[in-house]
Amino acid sequence: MRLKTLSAAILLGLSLVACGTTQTATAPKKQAVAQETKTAVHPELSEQEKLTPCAQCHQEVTPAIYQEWYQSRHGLDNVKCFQCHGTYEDFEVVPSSSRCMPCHAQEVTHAPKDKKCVACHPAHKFSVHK
Amino acid sequence: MALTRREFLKRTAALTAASLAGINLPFNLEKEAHAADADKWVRGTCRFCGVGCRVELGLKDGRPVAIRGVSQSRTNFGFLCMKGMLFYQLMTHPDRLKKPLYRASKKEKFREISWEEALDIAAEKFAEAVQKYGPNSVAYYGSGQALTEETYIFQKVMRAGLRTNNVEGNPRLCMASAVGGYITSFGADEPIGSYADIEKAYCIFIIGSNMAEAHPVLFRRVMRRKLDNPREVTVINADPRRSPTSRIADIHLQFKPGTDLALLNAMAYVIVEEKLYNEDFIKNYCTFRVGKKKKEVNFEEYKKFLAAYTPERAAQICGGNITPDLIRKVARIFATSPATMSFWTMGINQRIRGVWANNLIHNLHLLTGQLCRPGADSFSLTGQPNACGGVREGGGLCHILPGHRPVKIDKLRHQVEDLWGVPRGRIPAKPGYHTVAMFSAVNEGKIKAIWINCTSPAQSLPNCDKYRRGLAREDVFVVVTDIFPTRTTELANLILPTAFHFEKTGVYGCTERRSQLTLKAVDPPGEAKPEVWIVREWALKLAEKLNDPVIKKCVEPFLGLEEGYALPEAIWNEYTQKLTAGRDNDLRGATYDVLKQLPDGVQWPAPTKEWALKGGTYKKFVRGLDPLADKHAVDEKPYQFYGPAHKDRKLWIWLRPYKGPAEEPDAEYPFYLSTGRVIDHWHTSSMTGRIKELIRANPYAYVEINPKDAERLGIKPGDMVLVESRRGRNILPAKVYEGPMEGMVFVYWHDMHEDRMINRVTKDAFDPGSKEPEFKICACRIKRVSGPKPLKPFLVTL
Repeated sequence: MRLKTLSAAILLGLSLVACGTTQTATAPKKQAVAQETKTAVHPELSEQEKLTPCAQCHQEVTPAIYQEWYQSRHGLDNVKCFQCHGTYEDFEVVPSSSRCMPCHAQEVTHAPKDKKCVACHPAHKFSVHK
Repeated sequence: MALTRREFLKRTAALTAASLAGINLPFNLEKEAHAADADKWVRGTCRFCGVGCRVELGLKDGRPVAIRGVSQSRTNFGFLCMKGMLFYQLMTHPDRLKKPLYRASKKEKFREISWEEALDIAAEKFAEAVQKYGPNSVAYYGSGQALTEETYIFQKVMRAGLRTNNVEGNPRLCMASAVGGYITSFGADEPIGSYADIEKAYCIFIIGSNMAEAHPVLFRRVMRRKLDNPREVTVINADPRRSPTSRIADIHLQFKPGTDLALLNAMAYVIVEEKLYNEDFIKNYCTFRVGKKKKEVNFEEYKKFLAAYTPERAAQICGGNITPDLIRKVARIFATSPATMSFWTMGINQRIRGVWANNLIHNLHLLTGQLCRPGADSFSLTGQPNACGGVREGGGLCHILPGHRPVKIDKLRHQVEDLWGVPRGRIPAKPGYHTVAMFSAVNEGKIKAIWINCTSPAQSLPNCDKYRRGLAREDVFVVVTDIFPTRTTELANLILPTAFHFEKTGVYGCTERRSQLTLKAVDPPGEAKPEVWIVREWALKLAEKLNDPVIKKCVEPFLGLEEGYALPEAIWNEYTQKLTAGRDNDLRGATYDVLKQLPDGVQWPAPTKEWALKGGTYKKFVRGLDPLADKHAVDEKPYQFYGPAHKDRKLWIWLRPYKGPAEEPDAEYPFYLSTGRVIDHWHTSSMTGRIKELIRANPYAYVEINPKDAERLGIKPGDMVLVESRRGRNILPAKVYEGPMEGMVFVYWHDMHEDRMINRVTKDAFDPGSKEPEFKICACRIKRVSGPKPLKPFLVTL
């Protein structure tokens, strides 16, 4: 039951709302009209709710991304969300290249410095270069 | 095919758009240092499983900030799992034990004391026990996670100093059956081949192993092999539970827990019946053996024995999805593939007939000659990072001395005494207590002082409540050396804080006979000390209290040496140069200097520096590849099985009958209970439970229930479920999915909460040969007790 509520909250939270361009740490207030920049808002989570593997909710709220990951080599080898994105204290929506270094140190060193890894390797599929 | 950017955006519209614009996160993002910030990298190995991933610890201004893989390493090629990339956080964790803690009575609170006082008390208590009750009233219980130098010096002081073979360790709980299997089948412990065989294998047979979670970085190589060659390579996974490992399998064999011996014998039946065996290999290298007396029999008698294991009968015994046709199919693939490699872990080893199960896997390789060639090997996966190197090779079990020497063989025991320069007769001829016997002796008050190093038996022993009662006795003095509080430190009189990985120097020897050096990179916190220093200082005090110069003699070569590098190096030198010389695990070439030069260490046999600098031996027993095969050759044959246990230099095909588990389900306890690891946690989670990413990903243990059973019992996902056996009970949240087969439940064993500590429920029956307990199977009943409840992760604190 708790899980369902949480999932619903995330679904709601991730529906696109305009919150301006700044990434503030505030919860969504209300749906604004201006759609200049679209920003999703992750719902606030209690410490208890943070004890939920990311994939558990994202399997439902972002099924396409979840499936891409699940079918990828990362998915087959159990490379989990936090290994690239970090956790709540150091989360990055688009991981910086240093996040790839634990496993791909050499590749990161050789890659162009002005791009993030995902600029060329499709996120969550990581199949080949785009 | 790669998606175009447009298609990609379209497909993941919502979140992709969101990610491009950023997501508002209602969390306090902190600036944490990451890999990119490191200004220095120090080379070592991973602290966790038996794969032996080569890693580098990243430091920024002397503080650990990251870990990365080493791409030149032939173990992991740079890849790491989440445990490996995050354990740097433990070095600065606030819960680290930093001062010696003591209490005379287990009812009292601990108080901080000095090292001088702590070592004095430890020596006094052990000396007193030896004087009053004799040498067998003291014991050491170590770990497959201790460095080789640590296990070696501990066992040296116990055996030659205190004159007891009560030297055991947690590898008894995971690897002992594999040791028994290798010795009885091949005459020598440890795998013949290497990980490098994975890339040359065409049939990969995985039985009783969830390597996707327990050995993730090695599993990556298996996955890669399969995905790169989807048609040519067949992966067979045999397990009563569908696990993440099953995802890459072409065939999943799901059989009732404990029926593996019937399945394996039936595969042999098909191989023999259909003449798929390799006649030349059998003729040149094998004999058939039966019974306790190892009686030699002929092929005809083996065929007669197999007659009881027709695929039809085995399918009946095995249940699950096993059919006679399926057994025939996998036996054919196994026998006829250009190269077959088997992997197994605890599903095979933790059985009351674990040694037999190991033998029967080896049998399949021997019958078909799927051995010694590239890609063909019978490869036991080790659970811990140094169970092979430190404990199996370093003399860390009650019946073996360093260099694969059985205690009971006089000649070998005297060799060790001579090499140590102690009088002959100093090491007792009789092996000490094996693990279950050791803790039973604690229960009975026969052991008065026990030193537990780097492991938590209070949680990890099967039927652990029974043994916790013994450890809680006021007349048993318990010393624990560790880095964090555990269920075992709760029962200690004396807790000694130790240095963690990268806070000290030493060698780990992983599954594939590979020794790798980890260098000290940072100082341990507070007053924590490396174990080698602790043992040396303790031994000096013991010598004084017992007025026994031989105890001092044990540590004399190491006196005055600096503990961060010089001391472990001197211990390693003594062990390798003296104790492994001329043995099958000859490591004389693998000096610290050589180990430092190689990106991935050395595989033994490595008798010379020249050979070690080439990386050592990829495959044992093969002339041209193994220097000892050339040295010990007695004929022109390409394979020379010089293993110390088989005087006939043959490989033995064993006639081992089917035997079920010690406890089968019945009307009262109708379910099989099995246990295992999850990828995010290590053993009793005293380390991984303190890494926020890992505890969030897997905050507590679940009981996995098959959907059909769940429906029948009205259990929904997240419901709280009682799991009860004849020994104890747990109450855990339910995970309902097609993992365990119908009639079986599966529980993760890392959780240290009293309600979710599954070893309170498991059974302590053990293999009469290997003495390894049957953690993997017992009977239980389950019942829904309530709907979902908010649970908190639990860690023992001081």
